[in-house]
Amino acid sequence: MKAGCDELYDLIKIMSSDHLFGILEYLKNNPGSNASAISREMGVHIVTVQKILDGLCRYGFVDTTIKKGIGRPSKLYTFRGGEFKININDMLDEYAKRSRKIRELENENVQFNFDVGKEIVNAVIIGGRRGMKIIFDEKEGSFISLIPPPGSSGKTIEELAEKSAISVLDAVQLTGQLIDYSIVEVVK
Amino acid sequence: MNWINILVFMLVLIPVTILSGKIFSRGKAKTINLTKKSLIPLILVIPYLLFMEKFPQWFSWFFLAGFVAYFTILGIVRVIRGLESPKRYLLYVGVFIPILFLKFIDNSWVIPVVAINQIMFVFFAIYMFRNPSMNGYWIEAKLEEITEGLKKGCPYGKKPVIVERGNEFPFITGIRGLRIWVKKNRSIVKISKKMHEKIGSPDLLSFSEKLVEEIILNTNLKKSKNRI
Repeated sequence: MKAGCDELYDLIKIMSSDHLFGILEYLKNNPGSNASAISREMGVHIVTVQKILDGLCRYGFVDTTIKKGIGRPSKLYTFRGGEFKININDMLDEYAKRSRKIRELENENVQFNFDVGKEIVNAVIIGGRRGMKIIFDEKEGSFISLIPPPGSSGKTIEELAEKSAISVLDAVQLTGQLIDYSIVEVVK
Repeated sequence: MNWINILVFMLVLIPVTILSGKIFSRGKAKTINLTKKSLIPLILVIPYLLFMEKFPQWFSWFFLAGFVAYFTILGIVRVIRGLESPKRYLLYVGVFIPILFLKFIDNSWVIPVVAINQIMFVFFAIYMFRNPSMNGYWIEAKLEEITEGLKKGCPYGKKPVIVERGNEFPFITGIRGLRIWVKKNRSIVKISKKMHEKIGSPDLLSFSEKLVEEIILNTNLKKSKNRI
């Protein structure tokens, strides 16, 4: 399997998780398990387990089926295995984006949920109150909070990443998403 | 209450507002703006007093209790949400809430309330005079000065602006449509679109940096070397 750079980086993050192989081994021995059972059994937070499983599913290393019954439907996971290739050139191209200067884009449809105490953006709501809500973790929120306002000369992704203690590649990837949602623009 | 009382009330309130505004803003606030501002409480207070006159005492008490509870809770919510500092809230409560009790000045228990009001007003006056940046009139007047040398007609961003300038003593200040949180390492400036347009749509980053600088220089004057 060959993946795009953003996806590849996502996979590398999953691969570097301390719990990955434990979860994979458990799945191999217990096909058709759900995230909460794995979380309980391994003593790992369910959000971490869910993130790893979803990532593995995207690459086809794990299969998923939906079990319907009383209450909410639950996802069951089964180990499948496989291989993947890394394109270092793509990774390097992505890394080079760190010197891009970015700033907030004037957008009427975007609202920021800002935590003054922590100085971070908790979430962004696109398209009014009933619109899409994107929730960020603390590091991502800190990165977004530092993005200069529209009309300014902007700051480099690397500079903002350093101040918010987020990795450069994470910052580049997050910036890409923010550009797609018309929240941020690259200063030309 | 008759119309002569209202006239006397107006004649006192307008000069007092102008004078206190001038003193607190260190002469920066314009007389015309202060006059306009003094008319707002008049518009609110006169109907309140007339309204109270028309109803029996028990209803007046009920109405007053509701009024006081509303403003007190509103203030507490603002403090919890981090929109107002507890110190400023207590000062405002101590100064403005007792004014509502003046209608009942004939009752003996209102006298201590008014006495507390007087004491709080002295604290309020000292606090405002020492920290002009805590006063709305001063901030409004300063906005004009700050935006003068800045690039105008710039786009607006909804995200609060973070300025890399802090103060040893964190505080919150602002006026309607503009709020500034000064923290130990950074400051946060949140401006509404309406206010941004009102001051000529300046470049948000330069504006926020200049504003925070001015506000810090004019706060905790006793400890600052840069007195105005």
